[in-house]
Amino acid sequence: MVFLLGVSITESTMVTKALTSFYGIGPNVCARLCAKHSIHPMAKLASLQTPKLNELQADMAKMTLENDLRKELRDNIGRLRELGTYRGRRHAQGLPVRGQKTKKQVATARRFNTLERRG
Amino acid sequence: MVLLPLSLRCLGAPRLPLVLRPLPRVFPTSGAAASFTTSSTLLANPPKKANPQKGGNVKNLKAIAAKQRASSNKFQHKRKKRDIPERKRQYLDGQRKIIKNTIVLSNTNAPAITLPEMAKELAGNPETENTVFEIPGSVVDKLRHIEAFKTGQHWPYFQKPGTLVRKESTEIGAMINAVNEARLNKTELHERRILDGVKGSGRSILLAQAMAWAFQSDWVVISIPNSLDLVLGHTEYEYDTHWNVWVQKEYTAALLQRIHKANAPLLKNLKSTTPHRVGKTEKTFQTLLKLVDAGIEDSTVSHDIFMALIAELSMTDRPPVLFALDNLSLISRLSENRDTGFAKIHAHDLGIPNIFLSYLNGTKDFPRGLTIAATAPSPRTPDLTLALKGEKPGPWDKTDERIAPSIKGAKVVKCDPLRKEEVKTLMDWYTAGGIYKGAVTLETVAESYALSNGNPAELFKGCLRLKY
Repeated sequence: MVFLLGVSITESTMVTKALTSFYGIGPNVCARLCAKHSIHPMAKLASLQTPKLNELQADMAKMTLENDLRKELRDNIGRLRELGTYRGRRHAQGLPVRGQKTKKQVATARRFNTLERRG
Repeated sequence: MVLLPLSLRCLGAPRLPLVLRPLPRVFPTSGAAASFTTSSTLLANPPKKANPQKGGNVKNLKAIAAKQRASSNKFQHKRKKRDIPERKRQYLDGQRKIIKNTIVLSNTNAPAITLPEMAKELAGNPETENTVFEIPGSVVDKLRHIEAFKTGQHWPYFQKPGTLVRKESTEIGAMINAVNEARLNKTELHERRILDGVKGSGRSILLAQAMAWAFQSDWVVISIPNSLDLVLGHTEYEYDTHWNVWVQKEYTAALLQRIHKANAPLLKNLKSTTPHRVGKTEKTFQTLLKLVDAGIEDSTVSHDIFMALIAELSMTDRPPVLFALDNLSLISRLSENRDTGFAKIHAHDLGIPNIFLSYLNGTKDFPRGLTIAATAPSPRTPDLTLALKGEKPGPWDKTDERIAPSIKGAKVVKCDPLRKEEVKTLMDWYTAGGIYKGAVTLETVAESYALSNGNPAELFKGCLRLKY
């Protein structure tokens, strides 16, 4: 088992798969993170040498990920709401924020925009 | 008066016709009432009323309940669970890849053909052109270890691996002869060639022929069977500050393993006295085989070991070396590996391509040897196409300026289409091997030649297809 951000992951997992499982690391960030540590896209966690893994863990510790990132997002929306802005209100109402029409295609807004957004 | 009885009848109670008259309803007594359902449990006599004073009825009730429970359980037992057959995995992990890459060199069902052996004495002899030879058994295993045989070639269809010697083969054979002569005369000769031909034109087979002759002449053969593995970004890589290149340690360890398997008897007798950098220390190995083994055992030092091996083989008293690489075009462009700044790494900055190209363009030389690369026109960048032609790019063209110098001085050997006589020789061989079932006549030869356009791979496919 390999520990990344306190989460234990099996060694047979691909590095890209393990990294993108964290909130805040998508394919692009993952590719750049792998390139920084010279990890090829097909590498598995088992193939990482301990120094390389430690460097990767240290880099991930510096990044804003998971709950910290979710909190940051919520704080940003909360600030808009407290200021009473249109965007803040739309977030709270569960409606599109950026001028989209609301007759039909509001599924995404309904899914994500709530008083306290999940992430 | 006559109407009187009728009128009187009208005053009486109305008479309904017989059919509409309601049937007399017989209400049975409550004790004999039939149940609505036909269920045996409900049809049974109602249990006697419980009389707690007597106590017997309570027991009876309990017995009935137990009976009912048992019967219900019995019913459940009768229901059989559906047998779900255990799914067997059709292939284990990695099994399909092994099957896909397995090289089959012998077909016991194919008829035996007596062919002359491709002996080293025949290398470079123009009289051997347009003749099919059998690859000697002593060399076959070595060629297999060094991955000279590729999947998709004609090997699985014949009882023994055979190959046609062509004009290009004799050209390469002549070079091998020249190097062998230089070895005898203790002079230096390092030949550099690039095989250029379309898909299926026989570049890889020519490389295999060169290796077969080289093995027989006691050369050290180092082969990179497919450079795609190096640039695809699927192997471990890291920057080495000592060599100033990106090294691929796992691949290099595997390459050393192949070198060991194919060249072990020769390397065992080559003594070494020079200390070599291995990791952070310097070590001296007794023989070159022990040097290679050190790289196989510890992949972290495999690149150091590979460089040490190349350096050892570049010394004056060493046997000739055949350094071969297939798919030159793939290392003449950017690789899929990324550097720390997320830019694509140029294939020339990767360890193994870097050292190969330095021998191909003559920056480094073996005292006696042959460095040979094969390339196809597709996929190929325009830079390499121009460099092979020896032309310069236009002033406004976006060019990769590293390509032309990387192959400077290496002569290009064109893998031309087969001639008609060669097509006939091959078709005769296919007929003897049971591949081609038709008659080999002037017409069929001309037809196959026209359909295949003189491409050996296409010719084989065409002859194989006619069988069915």
